[in-house]
Formats: sequence, structure tokens, C-alpha cells
Amino acid sequence: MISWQPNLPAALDHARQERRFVLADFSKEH
Amino acid sequence: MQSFIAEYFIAVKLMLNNPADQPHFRAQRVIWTPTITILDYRAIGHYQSPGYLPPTLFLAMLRIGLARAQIAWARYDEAAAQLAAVADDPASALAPEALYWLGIAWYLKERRRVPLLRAWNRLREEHPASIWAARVPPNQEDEPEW
Repeated sequence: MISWQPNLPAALDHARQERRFVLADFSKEH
Repeated sequence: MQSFIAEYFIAVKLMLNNPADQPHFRAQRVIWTPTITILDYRAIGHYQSPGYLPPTLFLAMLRIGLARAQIAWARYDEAAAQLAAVADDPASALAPEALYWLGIAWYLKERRRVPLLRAWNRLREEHPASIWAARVPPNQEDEPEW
């Protein structure tokens, strides 16, 4: 189950702690 | 696919409609949606994939993007494993790209041309018409001494 982070700073901090990389899905609402 | 993302990535959606997210589009040089980018924790982008992909290609793209970030962080064995998984499906449209970077991952790990050329020769043999084969320098000897 993917746990989507609420924003990029939170994702970066999470990635640093877990030694993982960030998948950023740049999109827009239609 | 979802399990792969959950296992290897921290995921975030950035929306062009959200003013708080808009600076990230500029910072990451994203000019079209959708675009997938692979970042390290310092927000350095290592790979971008614009547009949509069918599920099998999307997973292969994620493996290559992950490997590109891992190579940048000297995690060569992990990168090679991801790239080999893509390269070993010769029918995949992303196999040539995976072979190109697989050679580089092996080279950067061992600082020897033998493993580099093993991957690149395979690239030229299996995917001679691909753009990635065209990136390989011509006249590579088959059995280099190092």
C-alpha cells in the first residue's frame, strides 16, 4: 500500500530517514 | 506496481493547481503533466519520465529511474539488480536504456571496461536499432584487457 506524503518537504524528510528515494508525481486536477 | 513503489520509494503527488506545490515544478524543471521524477532526499532530481506509460513499461521506467538515483549514490549493486530486471526482458521498449546504464553501473563499481563492454555489446547485439545502441562508442574491442 502506497503511503502518499502530504507534501514534498515531508517526503524528503521521510526519504532521508529511511534511506530511500522520492517518487514525485507531478500532475494537475482536471 | 503498488508494492514496488511502496517498497522502494517515498511517494508524493504535486499538483499544479496547488499554489504551495507550484514552486517545485519550476525547481524540478517540470514543464508538462503528468511527469514522474525520482529525487534524492536533497531534492536533487535523477530521472524524469513525462507522460503516461502502460503498467509494464511504467514499472520498468521506475526501475531505471530508481537505478539512476542509486548509481548517483554509489549503490551500484542495487542499481544493477534493477537494471538487469528490465534488460532481461528483450521485448521491453526500455530494455536498451537499461542495458546502457547497466554497463555504466558495472563500470563505476569495478572501474573496469570488461563488464561495461559486456553490457554494451549485448545492447548492440540485441537492440542494434535503438537510440541507446547509437550512444555506445563504435569500434569497442570484444575482449579488452581491463
